[in-house]
Amino acid sequence: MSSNAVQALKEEIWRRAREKAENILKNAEERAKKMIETAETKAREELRSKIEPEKLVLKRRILGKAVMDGRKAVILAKNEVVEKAFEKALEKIRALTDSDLYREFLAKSLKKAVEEFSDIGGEEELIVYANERDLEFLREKTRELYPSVKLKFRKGDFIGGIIVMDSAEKRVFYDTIESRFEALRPVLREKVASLLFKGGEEK
Amino acid sequence: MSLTSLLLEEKKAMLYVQEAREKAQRILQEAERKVEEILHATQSAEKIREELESYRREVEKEAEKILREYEEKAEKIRSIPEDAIEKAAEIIVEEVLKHEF
Repeated sequence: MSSNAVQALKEEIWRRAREKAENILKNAEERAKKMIETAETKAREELRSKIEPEKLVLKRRILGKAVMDGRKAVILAKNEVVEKAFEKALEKIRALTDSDLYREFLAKSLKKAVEEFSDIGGEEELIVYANERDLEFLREKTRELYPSVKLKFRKGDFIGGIIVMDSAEKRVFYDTIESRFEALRPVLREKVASLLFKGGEEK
Repeated sequence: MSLTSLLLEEKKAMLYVQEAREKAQRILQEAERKVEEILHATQSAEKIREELESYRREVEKEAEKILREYEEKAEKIRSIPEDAIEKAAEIIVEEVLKHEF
């Protein structure tokens, strides 16, 4: 055998050996990679099934609070605007005391009070409290419409309207601007909110 | 002489392949160790805490977005035009003065 042939055979032996070794390592690396990937997938799934219920609770709690806080912020903003409208309405009423609308209300209120106490009879004196500014108007109206009713007028510390009571102060007729505001506030809040925000007040 | 040298070369090559087999074995053993480690980690309370913490951060971002949207809505409500409030005030005045109890 020539030395060239021997050399060629040696090279062939090593080529095959290298090829085999490479295949062995490549297969091992591929198997190892697949084993790890499978384990990771399994681990993710196991973890997911284990913590999914907790995640759901966590999500509901955090997002639920955000929605609640958000709604609260919207309600507060709406309340601020509605309150602003109420304050403005009070200012308007204060400025309206010379108007026909207010005088009409005052006259109606006095009429209702007189009707309310009509069972008492003409002898007993009724006390009428009103804002100082309205006293003269009320006196005039009484002279004009209820000359037989005995009314005594006193200054009241409220924006407008009247409070009427019998002399024993047992029966009282309230019709002040303040009491009307308070009595109507819930209904007016709804009305004003639906006007201002179209969708009404958020509950 | 040349046959002997060829046999020697063949033996060396077999040894080389054997080393590759041993290395492959070590690779697989290492992979098995990692698999154990990975599967064991799912049982660990620490891992569960980490996962939940990371999820919590994700949900909190979503919550911040929701809250921001509501706050923008609230701001829009506050900036309602004055004439609308004026109109509402007029309705209140009218109701207060004209309502029949």
